[in-house]
Amino acid sequence: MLRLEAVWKSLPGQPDGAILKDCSYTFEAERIYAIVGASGSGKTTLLRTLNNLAAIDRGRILLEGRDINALPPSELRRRITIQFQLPAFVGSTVEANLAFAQQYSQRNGLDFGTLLDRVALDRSFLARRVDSLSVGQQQRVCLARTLLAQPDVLLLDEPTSALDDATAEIVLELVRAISAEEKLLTIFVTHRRSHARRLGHTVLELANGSLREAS
Amino acid sequence: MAPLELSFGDVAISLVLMALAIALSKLQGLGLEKNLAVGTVRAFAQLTLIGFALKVLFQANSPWLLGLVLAVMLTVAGLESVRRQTVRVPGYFLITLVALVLALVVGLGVVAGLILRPDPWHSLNVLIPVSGMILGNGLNVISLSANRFLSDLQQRRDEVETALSLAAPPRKAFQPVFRESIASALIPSMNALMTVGLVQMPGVMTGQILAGQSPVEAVKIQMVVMMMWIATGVVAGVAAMLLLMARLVNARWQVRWELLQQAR
Repeated sequence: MLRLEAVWKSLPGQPDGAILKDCSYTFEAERIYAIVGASGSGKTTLLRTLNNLAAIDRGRILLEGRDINALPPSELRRRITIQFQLPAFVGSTVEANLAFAQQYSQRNGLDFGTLLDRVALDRSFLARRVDSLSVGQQQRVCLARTLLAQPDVLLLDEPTSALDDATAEIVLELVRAISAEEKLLTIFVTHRRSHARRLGHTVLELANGSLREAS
Repeated sequence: MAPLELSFGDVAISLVLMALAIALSKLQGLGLEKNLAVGTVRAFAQLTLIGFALKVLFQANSPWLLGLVLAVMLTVAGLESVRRQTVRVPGYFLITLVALVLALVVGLGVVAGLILRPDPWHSLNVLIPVSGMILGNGLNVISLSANRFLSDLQQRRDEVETALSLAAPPRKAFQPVFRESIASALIPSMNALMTVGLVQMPGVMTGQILAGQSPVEAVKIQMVVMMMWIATGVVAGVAAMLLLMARLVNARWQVRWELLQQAR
């Protein structure tokens, strides 16, 4: 489904060489992968290269056999969506954020209230300002927003890092349910191994620039 | 009223004002005395030189000379704009030049071509002062908007990349940063536009009136200058920010963060 072939990536100002070194791996469809690794090991960079927010230096990334560089950027970004560690917004209210995402999605006529329902928020949240929400609620709004794109691949960068245990639990459960319902390939990065083991069908460790399955 | 003519002795009397400023600085411990003194000497020297240079240029009045003077003015403006940046982007000098040339074409096209219509068309005594106003204001708008654009872009990186990751095209993802950079750079121009004639008497008008022109005539010229000043500022700012955006995003809709370098 999503395949890395001998990917190399270095970051500017990174004195000790490449952050991804000859990294190869094949992610299968409809599975959840958890990626763990020390901070600075390149987990976020890896996610950014997968939806082409960051260019790789060498190698290829293939989505269903096609080089992601050959896909029109609008199509690629619709099919592979990313959610950042800290929720970021493109409008002041929940509704404005969903409306922004809908302009570029292929899901037209979807009721926003129903969409919020999917992430366990009620319709009254539509009019709320995003800066008045808790981080957990913000994460869920971001999740609803990415769902609008009807993606094939969902990338999550530390979705639970800023959440307390109870809220993290809710978000993890939502990710699990949505990934299954939408038949998504989900790749999420976390520093909590317990979360990785609980949610991931496969747990991967990123170390020394390459991915390997953790025991 | 006869046109005012000042002797150099008259001009020298204005130094009394600067002496007052320097004395105040000394008295209040502002530490500005040296800069004020050096600045005064420089301003006198530069303006005297430019006065004589313009006299010679206006007499020669050749289209080649016009081209040469504009090229020098553009280069100095471009270099100054680069010097004012706190975040450097390779290619920024060229971006500034293109934007300023565009502002110049629009401003001179309308003001010189349709309103002032100098004869001959390349009359330096008309085109050089008008170009100076366009370039000076264009430089300010470009510098202010570029500084705001680049610092906002760094601060709002997640917001811009979130929009890009939602499949928004770069132009749309950059829109908030783009809009605010131009709007903030135009605040001084907007203030001037709103208070002109009520609070401040703009330089062109004041100069004309002091030189013996009737106030009504002076006001007409001031209106033309004001419209030109604002419009060419907007043209320069918008062109420069669009070019800057094009420089910072590639065809795969990736922001080239590595191009942003903190100025030393």
